[in-house]
Amino acid sequence: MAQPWQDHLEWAASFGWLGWLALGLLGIAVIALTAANVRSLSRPRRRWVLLAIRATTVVLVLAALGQPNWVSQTPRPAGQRLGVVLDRSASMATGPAGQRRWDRALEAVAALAATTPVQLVTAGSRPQPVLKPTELTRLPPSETSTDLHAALRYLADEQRASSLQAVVVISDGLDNGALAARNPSGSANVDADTAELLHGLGVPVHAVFIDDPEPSKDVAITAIRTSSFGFARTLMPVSVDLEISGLADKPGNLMLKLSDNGKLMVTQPVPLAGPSRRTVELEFQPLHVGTHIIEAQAVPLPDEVTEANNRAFAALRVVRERTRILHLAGQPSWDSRFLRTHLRANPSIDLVSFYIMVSQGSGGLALGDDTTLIPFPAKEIFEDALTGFDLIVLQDFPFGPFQLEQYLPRLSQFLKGGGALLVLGGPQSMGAGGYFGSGMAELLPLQLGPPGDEGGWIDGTAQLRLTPLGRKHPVTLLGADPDVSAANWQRHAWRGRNTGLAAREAGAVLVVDSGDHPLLAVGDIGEGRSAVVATDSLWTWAFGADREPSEPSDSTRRDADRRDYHRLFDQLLAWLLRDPSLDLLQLQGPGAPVPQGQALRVQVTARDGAGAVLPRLALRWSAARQGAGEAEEAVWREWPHATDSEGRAELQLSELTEGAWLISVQAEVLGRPHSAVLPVVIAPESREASQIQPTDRLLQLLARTTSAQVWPNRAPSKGVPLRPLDADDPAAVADRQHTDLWSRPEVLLALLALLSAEWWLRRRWGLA
Amino acid sequence: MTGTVVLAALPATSAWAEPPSSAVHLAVLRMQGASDVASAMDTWAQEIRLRTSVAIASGAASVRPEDPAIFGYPLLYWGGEKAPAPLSEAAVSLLRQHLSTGGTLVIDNTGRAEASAAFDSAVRKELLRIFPQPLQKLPPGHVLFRAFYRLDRAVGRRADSHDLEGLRVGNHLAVLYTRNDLAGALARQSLGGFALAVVPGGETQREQALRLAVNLVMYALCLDYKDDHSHVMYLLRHKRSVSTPAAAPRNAAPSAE
Repeated sequence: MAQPWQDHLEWAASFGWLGWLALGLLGIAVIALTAANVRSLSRPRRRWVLLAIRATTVVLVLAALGQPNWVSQTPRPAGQRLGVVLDRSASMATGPAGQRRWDRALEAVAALAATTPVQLVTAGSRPQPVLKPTELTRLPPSETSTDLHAALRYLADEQRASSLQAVVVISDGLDNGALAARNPSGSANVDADTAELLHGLGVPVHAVFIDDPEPSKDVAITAIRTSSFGFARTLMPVSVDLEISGLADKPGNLMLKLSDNGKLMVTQPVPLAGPSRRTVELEFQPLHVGTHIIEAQAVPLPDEVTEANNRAFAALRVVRERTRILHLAGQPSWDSRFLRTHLRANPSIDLVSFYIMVSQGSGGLALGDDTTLIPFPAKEIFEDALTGFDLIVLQDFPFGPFQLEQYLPRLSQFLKGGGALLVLGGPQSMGAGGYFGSGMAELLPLQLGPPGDEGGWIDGTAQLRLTPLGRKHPVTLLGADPDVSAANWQRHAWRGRNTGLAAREAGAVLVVDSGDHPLLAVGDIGEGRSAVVATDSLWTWAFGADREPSEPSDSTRRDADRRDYHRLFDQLLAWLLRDPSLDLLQLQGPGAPVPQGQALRVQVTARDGAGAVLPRLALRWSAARQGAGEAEEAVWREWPHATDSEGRAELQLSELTEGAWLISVQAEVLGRPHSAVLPVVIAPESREASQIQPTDRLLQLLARTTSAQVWPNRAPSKGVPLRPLDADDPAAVADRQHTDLWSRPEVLLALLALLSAEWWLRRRWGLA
Repeated sequence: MTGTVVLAALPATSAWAEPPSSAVHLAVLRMQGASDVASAMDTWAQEIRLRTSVAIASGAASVRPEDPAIFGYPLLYWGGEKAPAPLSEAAVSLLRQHLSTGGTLVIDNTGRAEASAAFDSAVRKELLRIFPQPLQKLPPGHVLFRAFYRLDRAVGRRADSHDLEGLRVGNHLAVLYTRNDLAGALARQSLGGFALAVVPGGETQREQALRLAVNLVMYALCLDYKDDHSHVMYLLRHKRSVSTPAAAPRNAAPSAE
């Protein structure tokens, strides 16, 4: 068998062996008939001459029918071909007209094509072959991403059909595809997939690195890094990677801002002077559980080449690791004792308690070294440690006599900043505790000391009744449905209640007594929540003591009372701590950034506090762009909507532009407004602006892996060194040239000559 | 202590038509053969009121152990110097529920010259019917001995044994047993003086008994509060030899915990 690189004859026609056999027999028959025909000639020499001519004719015809052709397979000059990957992404358009990176890249392509035939492919979102370099003038550098890996893969696939002796990548090195993703900064070697790709190419991968003559003035946030989840009210570290170029000689600082769901949390100046790449460490404290969009923004400076890379977003899921509760009890009591037992039984709660164990009138006999009393650390609690707690419980706590008025601003700041406050009543609380007329009044969901009522405490049984709001509120639901819950509440009674309380606008009264005096109320105070329970006898539920003698007092009923106690406090704490599962409006959206232009889908489910779906509920959707600074105006757009029969509705938006948005839905349930907010991130359509300064890191990595070179800005004038061609190279077969022999005129002329000669001799020898 | 049944001196509570307020009430288990502890209960409540911030009702209620009214009183007292009649099944069941859900039962052996062996054995037997586990001696470092006062022993009118025994149910000591006639140290005469001499330590021992009574109530109300980290750290820093913070500020702003 001929070697691949040797010339040889090939037969194009394929009749199969039967066809050839038939043709052979036919030829033999013709020759045999000829032999019989020329027997009449007297001279044997003449017979053999005619027979030879006829046999030659038959052989020639049979050969022509086989369509022979000559294959030339010598190693060929055509194998000296150069693969060129040209970066056509938007970052290549950077630079002044006529001096853009793209312009220099085209010059490099022209220089390469002048010395060696090129096979050209552009790199962008996807590879695109270009037949001739001249066609590049019609292709602007506008691709929204750079995927050099895909372009190299394209060439590797093509390599099987056409020989390449080298590859040259022409790029500013700002890849944002698989190559960059798989080979982050600091990678000493290419990843396994890229290594396999380069091995498949089997040629050096050189590069012409298109750099800027002078660094562009730009501040880019190249990355914002934080844990994917954090804990509410716990400091979260955030690392922001900055790339500052062309500004090192400028005095002053740039301002770096960090926002949480659009709320500015930290502003930090960063000196312009210093290394171009640096990481700034920031900290912030997420207040609430749920999804948080963290935005880092470098305030744009004058003359920046682009502002599109001055912002970056990260999503953070905030959970509650352990709920930290500060429990301040005005005295040891059964109410404080059973609440402590309830709280201590919950392993997710960190409880810090302080009980006032001696009082002004009773401590004389107790004082001395023989006690284990410690001073109440008011300053440490209210000045230093307050923000470390999620919930403050004041249980029958005489606020006034403790001269704690000075700490009220801090308590107010804690609450309005997202903390929670639970005030449990008692004879020392509310009016008797110095709450009235103090700053405490602003922190409670009930009005203190309405006209004519100075507030106090009355003993005696208070029969309980749920208000219409309380029937469907998640805090007070003590049954499978509102009716069961209401009946349950009516069976309970409290022993004594605080007086001098009235509803206020900021609060929701959920439980009243038979005289419509508010007994349990909740409300939003700033970003925090507070609740008041105007009795100290909830322990009777926990202990099964809340039964009239006429009622059955079996253990089943007492167990039910205990369950009510634990359920009420669980729900109260969940509501105070903004447990998302208690929100009447539940929003669900994409867990990842949505590329701009794609549809953003957000679903809402509406239920009342009892868990029943709310069909045909009028909804008001809105979206607000989140800015890092107060100066940035929120953009509000509104869409009216309503839930379906299953209490659901979906919002689809395609018009949101790049950035962080708060999707909000509002509805009125039982006469009170409710809302839910979902932060979402719209990712930029183009990833090209995320980094603007050219870098040869990846190009060097490719060149180093394939023993190639990187040339800055222009191709080498002597051409690119090519891989030498050897005889065993499969590339040698690439230029096979076939020459048809059977259709050549010489064949026809030879056939005509044979037939003519035979006809002339026959006539001459008397056989015609 | 004189040990005849004079329970009429205690207000009997068998109906809830007038439920007690949320103030702490001492309640005596009305048992056959139980001692007269009315004055002792008064003293106990009075000392709590004088020494602590606890709002405690004057006097003590008395309830039968088979009466569901015991659920109005998380702290029960059972004293005696004779073997009590066996508890009814209903009483056993109710006491088990009471103690399992957070109640505390203080048992006091009020034997006159020494701890009553008959009461002791009968009580232990009845307790085994309620919970199938024996009483255990409390270690000296137990939080009860730090619940308000620092105590290193548990004495009463007598000091036969310095130990307290207890029975743990769930997260708390549901039963506390002293064999030293605590009520005897608290009992008063009608004119106000203490009714019985305290032996062998005299008035010093009586003060220790009063402090134990305070700690028992404080433990029932606060459980392991004094084991909280903040308290332990403070107490470690301020050992007994070191003065606690000045009294004046604590009185001016009643801020002792």
